[in-house]
Amino acid sequence: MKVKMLCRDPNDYVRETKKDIFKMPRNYDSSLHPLEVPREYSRALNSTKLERVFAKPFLGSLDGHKDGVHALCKHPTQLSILLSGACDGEIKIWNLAERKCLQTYIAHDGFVRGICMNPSASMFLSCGNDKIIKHWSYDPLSKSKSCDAIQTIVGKTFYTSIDHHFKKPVYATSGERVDVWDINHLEPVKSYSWGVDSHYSTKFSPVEHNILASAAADRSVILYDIRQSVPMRKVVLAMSSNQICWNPLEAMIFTVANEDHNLYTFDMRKLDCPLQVHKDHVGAVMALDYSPTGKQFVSASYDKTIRIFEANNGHSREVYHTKRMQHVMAIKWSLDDKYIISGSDEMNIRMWKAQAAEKLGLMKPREREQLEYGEKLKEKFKYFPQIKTIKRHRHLPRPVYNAIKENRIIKASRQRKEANRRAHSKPGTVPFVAEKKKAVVDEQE
Amino acid sequence: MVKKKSKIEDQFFSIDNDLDEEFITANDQIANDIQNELDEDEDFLADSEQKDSLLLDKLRSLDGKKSKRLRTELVKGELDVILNSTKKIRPSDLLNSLSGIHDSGELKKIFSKAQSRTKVLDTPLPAYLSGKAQRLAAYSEEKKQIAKWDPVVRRNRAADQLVFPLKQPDYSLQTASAYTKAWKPETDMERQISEILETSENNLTDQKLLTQAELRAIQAMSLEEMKQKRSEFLKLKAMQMYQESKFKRLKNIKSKRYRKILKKQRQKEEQKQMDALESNDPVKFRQVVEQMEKDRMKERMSLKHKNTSKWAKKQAAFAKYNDQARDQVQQQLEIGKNLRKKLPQLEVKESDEEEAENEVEIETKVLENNPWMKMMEGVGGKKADEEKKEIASEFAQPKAFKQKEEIVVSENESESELEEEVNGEGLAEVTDVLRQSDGDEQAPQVVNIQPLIEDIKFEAKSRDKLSLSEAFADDDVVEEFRAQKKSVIESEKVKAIDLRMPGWGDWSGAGIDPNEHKKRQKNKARRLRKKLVIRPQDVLAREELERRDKGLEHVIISEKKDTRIAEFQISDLPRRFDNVHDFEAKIAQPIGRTWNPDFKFRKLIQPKIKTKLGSVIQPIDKDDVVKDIKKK
Repeated sequence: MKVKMLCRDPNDYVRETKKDIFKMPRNYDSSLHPLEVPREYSRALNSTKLERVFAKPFLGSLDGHKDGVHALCKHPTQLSILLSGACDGEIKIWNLAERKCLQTYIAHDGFVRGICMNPSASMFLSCGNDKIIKHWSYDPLSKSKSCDAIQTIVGKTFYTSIDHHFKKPVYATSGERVDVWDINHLEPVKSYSWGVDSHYSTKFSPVEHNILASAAADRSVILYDIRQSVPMRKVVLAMSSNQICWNPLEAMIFTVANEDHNLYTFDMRKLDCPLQVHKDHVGAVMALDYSPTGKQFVSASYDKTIRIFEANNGHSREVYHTKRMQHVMAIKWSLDDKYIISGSDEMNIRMWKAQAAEKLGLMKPREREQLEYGEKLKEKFKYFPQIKTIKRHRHLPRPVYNAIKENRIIKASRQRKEANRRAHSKPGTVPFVAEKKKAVVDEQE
Repeated sequence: MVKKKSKIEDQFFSIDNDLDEEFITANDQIANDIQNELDEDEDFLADSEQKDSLLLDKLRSLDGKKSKRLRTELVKGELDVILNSTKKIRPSDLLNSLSGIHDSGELKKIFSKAQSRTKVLDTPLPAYLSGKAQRLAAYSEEKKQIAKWDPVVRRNRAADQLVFPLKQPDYSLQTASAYTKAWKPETDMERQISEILETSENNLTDQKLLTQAELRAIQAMSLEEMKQKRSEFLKLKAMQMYQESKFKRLKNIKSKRYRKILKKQRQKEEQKQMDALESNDPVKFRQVVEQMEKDRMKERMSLKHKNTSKWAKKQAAFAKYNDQARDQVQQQLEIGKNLRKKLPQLEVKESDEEEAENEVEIETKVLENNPWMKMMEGVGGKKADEEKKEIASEFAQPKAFKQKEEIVVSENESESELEEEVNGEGLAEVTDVLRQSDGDEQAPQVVNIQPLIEDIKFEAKSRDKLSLSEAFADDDVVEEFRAQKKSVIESEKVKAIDLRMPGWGDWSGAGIDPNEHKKRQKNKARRLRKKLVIRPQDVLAREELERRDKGLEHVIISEKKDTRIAEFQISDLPRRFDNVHDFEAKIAQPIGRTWNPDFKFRKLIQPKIKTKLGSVIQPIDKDDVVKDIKKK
């Protein structure tokens, strides 16, 4: 009797080695897959939801300062080292990986206003309200932990910030004037002043190394070339700016953090109108820092929040806040594009993830592929209402939430008033002025 | 002045020479323009001042007083002549007026000499203007310089993917010689070692055949001695070579016979050794044998050299394609076999034949005593008998009969299939018949069931061919659809808006005649209806009121907004798209692996920015960009 049975040849399905990959026959004819868009849509929706589920940006805080942290400085070549200066004149060196303080210096009388490191990281400089600039040696391998400055320069006036040239042994300070110093000299090599007696901050361009920008008390932003004996150009904004940051990828672009709750991105060549106005903060913006990829920047505000903006987008993509964080006075974006470090008034330094939902550490290729696929799907379907709302939704502290609501009402009222005025006056007498142009008052030669 | 300033700056910050020049020329131009403007202003001022003073003087003369500023007026007049004359006065003209005076010739000479040499500097600009000029020049120059970044910025913005750090490390391999050339001793120990190595006499250089030490040794030897040593050395070397080649040859022999002989020799050798051991050192011999015994026991207990281990299974899987694997498995089995071999008994000293006989006896005895073996014998015996019978009957059966049997079997199969397909009543008969045939295998009955099967199949087919109307006889789909459409039309109909309120145009109370009132009420109601009820046909055009599915019997076209679909629709076209078609095309293009080949999928999911974990990203560097452009 013949028995009929199922028969399979193991050669057809047993792999000889682990790396033997059988080709899965698949027909990619789109007419056979009528539901591809709905399927991808639901995948996109799921990954958007998962992103919000996994969004835990706060990594930890470094406590140890006895006063508000107003100055931060990144190590130019090492990711784990951070320098911070507090209002009681202390400077601390931190190891971020271990979250430990490596060393403490009693640096200044009163506020430490600025810290910067030279490109070879052999020393760092600090300046303070006590009219003193100090040079400190930085040698992590040396055994002697001396806490004395190698050079102390007593200036005539106060200093508000300090920044080092990206290549040469030259640094710049701001205060009553903007001074350019040689590291080996006790007097400034150059001094720039242009009708203003106080500068809030100054910053060298990381790409065109000789260009310098400063934010002054007369609401202006001034550009300098340290090869010239005079400043180059001045642009006066509606309110004064607190800090400047240059884009590390685009030489002509810089962004200023303004008192009027906004940030303005300028092209150095067209100062009469900013390229982009970045709104969303509800308090004065105190500090900002570009990501090393130049595509985003992070801003710290007096409204006790941190916001992350796309460089070419007017609204923030992310907002960070905690219950205990007070006015955020200093902010830095780590050089590996992964972390954000903030210093705030309540003595803490906080570490955040730059991408709130990002998984840290190494990933298996399959996992990485899956996440990258999710990212692309989110990007593809980001205009759809469901996904848009989930992606944008953030919980905000009540004062910020209320302020945003109030601002919305104020804006609507202003618009209404302008429209009314336009409607009831001679045509052409009330012109349409772009929101961007309103920020710039004057460009001076 | 400007030049001077820029030179001072040169001392501190090195500027490119051409850049410097460009800057200066631009600066000069702007300075000249400003100077011209300034001159014009001064002329205008001088004119107005002059007029004022004249007017004042005239007023004073009216008082009868003599003007005190007469002298100055005169001077002014002279100056006027000079200033207003179109001809320019040159110093040489003034000299001409000295023609009468002696020494004038010499004076002229000196003057001309001096004039030919010196150049008069322009008057310096006021500080605020010169500053402005410098600022303008500096800014315009900087603008030009920064514009060089435009293509780079544009490229980076448009790039599908940016990989950071932008400056990729140099992966080219360093050769040993390049490394050693670059290397320098740093620590004390390294320095000492390198000193010793450098001063050593045993260093072989490229140019020379022998080292210094060798040369010295050669020089120290006599010729005879050297020859002898050399011949010895050569002999030794030749012997070594012969030996090596011999071993190589032997190793490569593939003959099985040779290998067998070799093996036997080896075994003999071993046997000899054992014998020698037995006679010379019985204690050790005993130990060796005991050890062997132990090994054997262990081997018999364990599955170590059977093909049951994980490794062995894996090797077995490879064995089909890999000779080596097969050999290894074989080898292992061989080892097991050798270990399990019986060993010579220590005490037994009888001859081999007797031994064999004894063994056989023991075996049979054991078999007799073992109840398991008995049982097995019985079963095995029966089975064997049956098998024999079967074989015999197979041979005895004629060929035709065998074929018939096969047919029956095939029909058995078809029976079970049919049973599954159709549970017809007619089938019972057939199955009965077939079951009977099943029961008696020795004498199979041949039944022709073909016509019966065909009958059943036909019935099944005709049943499949039921018309739609028959199938849906119970539920009236058409009528249902009609009702549904009617309800949809009713629900979507634009309804009239009634603005009337209860009690309007109505009077009640004492002194109202109900009949009269009713009549009036009717008229009033008509008027009110006309006034306060807005009918759709009054407001909308006929086309707007008409349904699109009016003439279509089997279709419902609803123009109402579907809120459930609205969730998945976007209201505005995103800014980066020019038209709806582009956007829809973008959405319709799937990314996933299910719809794209693997390589395409990997390409599609590439992130816009890729960073390396734990590496510092430096700002874009001018030198690298220039290098990149040159490479391209």
